[in-house]
Amino acid sequence: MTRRSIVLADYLIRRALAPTPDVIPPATLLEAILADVAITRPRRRIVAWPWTPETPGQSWRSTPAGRVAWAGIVVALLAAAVVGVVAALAQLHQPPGPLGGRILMYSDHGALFAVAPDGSDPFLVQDLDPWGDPAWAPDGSRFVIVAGSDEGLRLEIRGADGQVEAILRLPARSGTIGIANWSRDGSRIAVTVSVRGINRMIVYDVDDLDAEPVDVTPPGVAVERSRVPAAWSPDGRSLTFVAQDVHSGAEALWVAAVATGSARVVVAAAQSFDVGLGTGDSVAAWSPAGSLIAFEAHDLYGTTTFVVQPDGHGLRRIAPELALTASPQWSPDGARLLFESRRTGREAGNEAWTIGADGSDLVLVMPDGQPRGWSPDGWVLGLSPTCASGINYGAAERCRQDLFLVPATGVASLDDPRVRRLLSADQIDGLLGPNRTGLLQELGWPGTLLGGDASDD
Amino acid sequence: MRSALVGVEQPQAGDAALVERARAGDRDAFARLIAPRVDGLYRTAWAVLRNEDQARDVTQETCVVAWRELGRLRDPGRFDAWLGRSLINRCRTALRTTRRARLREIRVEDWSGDAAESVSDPRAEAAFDAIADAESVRAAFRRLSVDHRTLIILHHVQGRQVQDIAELTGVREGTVKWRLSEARKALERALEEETR
Repeated sequence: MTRRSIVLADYLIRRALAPTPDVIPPATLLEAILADVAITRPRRRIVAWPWTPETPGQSWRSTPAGRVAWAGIVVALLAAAVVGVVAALAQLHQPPGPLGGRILMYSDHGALFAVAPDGSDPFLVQDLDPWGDPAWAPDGSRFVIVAGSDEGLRLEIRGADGQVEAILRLPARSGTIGIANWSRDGSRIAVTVSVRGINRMIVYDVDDLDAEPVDVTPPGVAVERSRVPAAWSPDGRSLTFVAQDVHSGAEALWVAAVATGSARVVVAAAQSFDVGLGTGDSVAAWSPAGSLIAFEAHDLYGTTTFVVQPDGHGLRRIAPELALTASPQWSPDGARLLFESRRTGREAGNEAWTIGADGSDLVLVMPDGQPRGWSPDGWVLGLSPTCASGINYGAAERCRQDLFLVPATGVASLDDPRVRRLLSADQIDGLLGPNRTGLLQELGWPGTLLGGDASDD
Repeated sequence: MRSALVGVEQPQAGDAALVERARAGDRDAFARLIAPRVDGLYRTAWAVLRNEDQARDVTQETCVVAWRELGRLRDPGRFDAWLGRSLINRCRTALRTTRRARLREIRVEDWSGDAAESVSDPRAEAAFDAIADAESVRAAFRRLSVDHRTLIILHHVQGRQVQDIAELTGVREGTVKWRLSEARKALERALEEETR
């Protein structure tokens, strides 16, 4: 079958995508906005100057109240200067890096910041271009990032200080780049690159950047356009990813041997489900011991999660009593699998659950929140939605978020005293600066998330 | 004349004064400022998100946050650009977060094998070669990244110039040109996949 080459005319795009005249806001929208405005105060007001001179040229400082005010201003300025000097000195003695051991977060507007595991000392590491998608090396010393320029996209390795250390060579006629992923030992990087319109899985040897990158894509398939990186096996010899047959369109879970480039199907689509989500962001994760792979699929009811042995045996659906399950992540000891779920019919908000590797002992860890991975000591890192009062959010994921850790044994609510609150939504907003939201796209400890292998500890 | 499509309106005489009053906390001034813009904001959000609920939420959030943060706008004359950028950023957030959440529920009654059969129909393929079906383009559009969606709507649907988009998205004009090209190619590739 030959590939068609479609060139879309402007008018076709416009005709297909322009809102039709019947696309109008709900009649109550303006009313709702103004109702919110009525109960919301501007963050900063401009206040009219309260004093006018009694005689032309009279200074406000010549009045008794003015003298007091002027003295206050001088004292405040001196105090601010002292505080500033002290803060600067403290900064000199406590530079941001190294970042290892900190929780790293990447916001929806390209801000990369870090916080200590106890929630202290949060700081903005870098403001990155929104193309972003940084993937941290397991030791947190550097990261790989997709950077854009007038010449096109490129893949850069940067130090934790943001300085470019190397630019990775992309295949000829490459286009879109997915999220990269480091091998557990930090010696290699796997990334999905669109080459002539087909997504390929490319592996770089970080220790020998002059070496030709290796394309491990099986013939006749296209790797799912990946917003989530392919998963490295714990021994670094294999990569798992969801790929699609270019002719039939059937998706399958593949394992490719990095050294030889040979690949095989672990799980093919079945009558009852499709492998992957068909959306380019399907997650697969190896257990730390390498004995199981958890992956997302799509069945009659929506997103579901399965586990399978690397040889394709032992396929089973996790938590069949929950209709929707996604985002599997193995605990550091491999004993449990963390995933998110939303019960059918529930309008908003996800739940975090864990289940034993053998499929037993299902535990609700966190109601109303998004699990984002494990801490090295086996707690669950999560984000909870915090809806600003007066704003009628339609879904929990569009609310502002708090960052916290919960025990893996679970809590009935986030008010439980065992919950460790790390950062509030206000703190996150404060880090990001004005006119930006604090929604976090990726976060975790280096080597556990943020482009690292979710199955690694 | 004000285009119903364009989410960020051309500044009108007196708008700067309204912005100044609104910055000082005048709710009536803000209402007069925002009322004529809600329609365009909503349609822009809808065009990017293709979802009524999300478009409504994003529009509402953009307006309320604009009210709260208006004191930080230094130049009242740039209110529309500032508002437009805020809307686009919130659309990006809504899409990216929706994708991040990844839990998708489909209605059982929507599930059918008919779609796969129609794709394999050679008559359908031949028909597509003659003319790109609008529904296929819309389906392909849904496959695109947030950035690609935004650029296609701003440029190809709303007819915005590169300079205008650069201001809205906060990147250089040269970068906008390159990204526009990439977005269009991505749409064409997605259309190929959609009709394969």
